[in-house]
Amino acid sequence: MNENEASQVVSDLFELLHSPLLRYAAHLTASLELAEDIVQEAFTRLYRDLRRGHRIERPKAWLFCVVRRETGRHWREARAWGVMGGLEDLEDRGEPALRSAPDADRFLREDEVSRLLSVLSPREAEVVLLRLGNLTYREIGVELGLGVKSVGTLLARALRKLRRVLAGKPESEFVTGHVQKTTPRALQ
Amino acid sequence: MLIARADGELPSREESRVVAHLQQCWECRGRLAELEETAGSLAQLAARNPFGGPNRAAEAKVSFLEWRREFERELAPRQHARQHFASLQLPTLAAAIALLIVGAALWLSKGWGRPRPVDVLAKAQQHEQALIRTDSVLHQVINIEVLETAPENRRGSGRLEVWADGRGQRYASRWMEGKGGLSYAVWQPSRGQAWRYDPRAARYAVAVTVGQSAEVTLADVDASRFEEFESGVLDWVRKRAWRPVEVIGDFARFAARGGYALEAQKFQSADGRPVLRLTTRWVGPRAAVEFVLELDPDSYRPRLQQATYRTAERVFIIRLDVARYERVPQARIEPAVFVPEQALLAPHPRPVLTSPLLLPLPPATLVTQGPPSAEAEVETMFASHLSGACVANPVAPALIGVHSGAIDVIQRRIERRLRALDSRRTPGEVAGEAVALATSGLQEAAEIRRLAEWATPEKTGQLDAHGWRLLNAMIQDHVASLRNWLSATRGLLDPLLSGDGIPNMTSPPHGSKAKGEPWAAGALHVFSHLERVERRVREVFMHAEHPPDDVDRAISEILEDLPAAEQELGWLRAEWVLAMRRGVELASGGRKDAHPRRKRN
Repeated sequence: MNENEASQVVSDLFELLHSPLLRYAAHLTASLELAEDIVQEAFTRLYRDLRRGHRIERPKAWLFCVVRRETGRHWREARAWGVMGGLEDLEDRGEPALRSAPDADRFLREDEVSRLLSVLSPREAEVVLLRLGNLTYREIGVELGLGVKSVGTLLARALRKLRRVLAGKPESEFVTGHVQKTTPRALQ
Repeated sequence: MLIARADGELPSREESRVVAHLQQCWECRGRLAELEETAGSLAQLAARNPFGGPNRAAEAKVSFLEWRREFERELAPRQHARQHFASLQLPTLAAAIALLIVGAALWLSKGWGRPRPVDVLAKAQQHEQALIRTDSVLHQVINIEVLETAPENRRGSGRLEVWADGRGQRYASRWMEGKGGLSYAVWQPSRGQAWRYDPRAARYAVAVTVGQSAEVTLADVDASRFEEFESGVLDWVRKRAWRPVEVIGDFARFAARGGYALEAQKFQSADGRPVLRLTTRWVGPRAAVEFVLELDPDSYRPRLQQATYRTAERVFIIRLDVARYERVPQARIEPAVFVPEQALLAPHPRPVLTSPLLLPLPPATLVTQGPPSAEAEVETMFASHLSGACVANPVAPALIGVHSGAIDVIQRRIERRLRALDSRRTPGEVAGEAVALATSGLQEAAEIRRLAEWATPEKTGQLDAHGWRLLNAMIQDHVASLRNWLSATRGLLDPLLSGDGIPNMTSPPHGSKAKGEPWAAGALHVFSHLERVERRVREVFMHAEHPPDDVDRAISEILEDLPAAEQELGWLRAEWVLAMRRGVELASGGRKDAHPRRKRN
């Protein structure tokens, strides 16, 4: 793909998906800084691959997939450092720490969507976030290792919970400021 | 299923079934409407609130565009070359390829490109010897990695830095383990003067005699466990002290042994640099050893040496990554390279500067004509005391060089206790500190004893009030220091005893003293206690010839001696103060105000 074509594809996807991808990455990492790096890495990798002539059939799903894999890699690295020398070592190396990210906490608390999603289980929240990125059930299923029906079930359950929240239950019942602090099971 | 229908995700057969049901069922239609409404609200909410604020995406895009520009700039020349190549006519390409093939055939037929291993090794050795025997200073930095790849993955690493004067006058070698802490070092600033730093044996650098170091190669490292293998490599670092690392020489010695096949190969490394690789292998009935040496093909400087030891069960690898191997002109070398850092030299161990009596003496008082008077002797001793030289007398000459690793049983025992105490210290550190404390304590006790032996009635009878004050200051300082050492030793050893392991020790302390004995006798008792403590500490924490069978008992015995020594020290001090007061009174003709008054801190 030539420079203009690749640039056009990535620019369009940037407009469409930057925010959903960033929200998804921040949800997985609980670190805004790390989430931004990962999303940027996903877009640059997409552009590089397009320029090298690789065919990317479903660029949206591809981007979410890269974000998820990169997050998993960072978790594994962080865990390895945690075992070897504690997360402080990770910070000493200039790596963002995954668990101590007050900025992400703040953004996740301030972001209305994230606040809503805090009432869901991690898996439900992940399905909703991927659906907000306009991924099909099949793509979500491939991403999370689930069947298409399971994706539908999780999504329906999540929407029912959100419906109850939006229907006017007191805010305190769901605005817990909860940020996912543990490794998502699928990434372990 | 409802939400799947709304999202258009149902297969057509199920879709028609659901549609038919929805037409009949108000409840499900209502549910579907609710789900759609919720999904719509959520989507709107997400669209209205971009995550991280509205500017974040714009900033990210700017950053992406900058990256894209840079990427395209890098990509352009490569693409240009590709296009240029594609535009060449077919006949031109065919002719060029034919020329290349003919050239390659000629090259191979003459044996070019196939370096003879023996020649390569000989040349490399020649270059290395020229480098080592030079008048300049040789500087080597070698990153050493020890790996066990089977049955499990384990890794240890360190960095060896060597400065070696070609004329053999000056030498320094530092071995830094893991994260960079100094683990072993030797220095020789000039002939006849050398230091060694081994934190497992002593806390500070100690003066040593330079001996002839054995020629040990990595091929001599032999072990069946990773720990032994790692310590074998450390042993190699130690044994080859006082001479630079001969990377090629080691390889050549290994290759010269019988039964080894030697190969040479030229190739390009991942970073595009040409590399000359020599490989030598030996395969025995139970183990196989392979040595690989990578050289710069132009300068024959070594870049990497790797030794792989393979048995049926285990695989060990030692990798020497040669970061620096260079000559440095003498003029550019700081002499400080060849001496230990200030922090590694033993500080003055006693609180001498706190004493109000310790004023510097004029040098003239140290120069005496004829046989020295007691007054002059005490002043000389005091000057030596001020400089800290008094405690530098070797009281345990067997100490240096005895320790070559903690005894396994005791090490494991200490490890367990430290783990139970949640301590971050290693058994080596504890052992090193225990030995250092005991040695220093013994030196203090020896000094008190020396002063007591000197202070005979004939000598003290000649002292005036000033002489008594100097003697008092020295004794009080040594007593105070010894108390500190004793309490530090107790603090270190006490936690090592497990509660159930303490044997019932009811025997009277060794060498106890009857109250009223002169202070000089007390000094002897204290010394004998400290001598015993120091010997036992060495038995427990160092490689003694006869390690104790019962570690708990041995540590308990040390701990029993410590309070006994402290008690003796208290009596000694009381007796000394009485003796000193009497002496000062006599020296100043019975005037009571002549008593020296020590300020206490």
